[in-house]
Amino acid sequence: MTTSNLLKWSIEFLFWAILGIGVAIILFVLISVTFGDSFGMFITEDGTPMITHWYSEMNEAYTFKMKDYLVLIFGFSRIIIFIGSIYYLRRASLKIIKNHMFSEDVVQALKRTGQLIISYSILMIISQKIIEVLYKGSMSFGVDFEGFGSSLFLFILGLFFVLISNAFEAAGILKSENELTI
Amino acid sequence: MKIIVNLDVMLAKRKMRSNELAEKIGITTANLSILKTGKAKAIRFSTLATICQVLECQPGDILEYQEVTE
Repeated sequence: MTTSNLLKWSIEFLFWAILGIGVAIILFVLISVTFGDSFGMFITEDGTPMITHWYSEMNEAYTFKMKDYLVLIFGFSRIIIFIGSIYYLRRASLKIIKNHMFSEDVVQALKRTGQLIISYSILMIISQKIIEVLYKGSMSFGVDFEGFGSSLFLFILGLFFVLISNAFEAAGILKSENELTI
Repeated sequence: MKIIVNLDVMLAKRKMRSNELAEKIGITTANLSILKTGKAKAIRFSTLATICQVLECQPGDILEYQEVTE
């Protein structure tokens, strides 16, 4: 299997899986919060919402508060931004695989991918800090360095994509000039 | 400002057709057309030298600088 085929199938799988899972999560949570969680997927047996387990902060019985909705909004926003970035990455990848690598479509898709990854990393930091203040009452300072999921790494990766899109744009101009060089 | 390529004049003087010139200098008629219509961005010295050799002329006979007023 060639690299381009591997990329194509990996990105198609990721995009459709993430889209399906993301939409399902958003719908389930919205329905559960609005109409009650009869499936027990988001409310555990002791009546505490799963959200409290996600952050492992509360030990006592808990009722869904306004700040929990804020956490959901952050979560939904991150899902949507992530799906968007994979969508544009998929668009750029498929065009590159078809050998239209220096087209305007690819340039814009790579730029959007980078911008969305940057937005995701900033939202990640902001949401983490706000949630710390809301649930712990205080905020820690510093940046996480834990592997590829760290917000700083994602920020750098986003910037890199934007830079690559500029390089592709310049390459496209050079290519068209070369084609018109007799 | 732009460079005008006056190939038609030299072709007429040498009584040569475009496709004949294209074949002799080793480029496609499409590329020669790009050159003649002023759409070319650049010309290689090697191509210019071959054109001058075939048409028995100097670069100044086929290239002209024109000031473009807006």
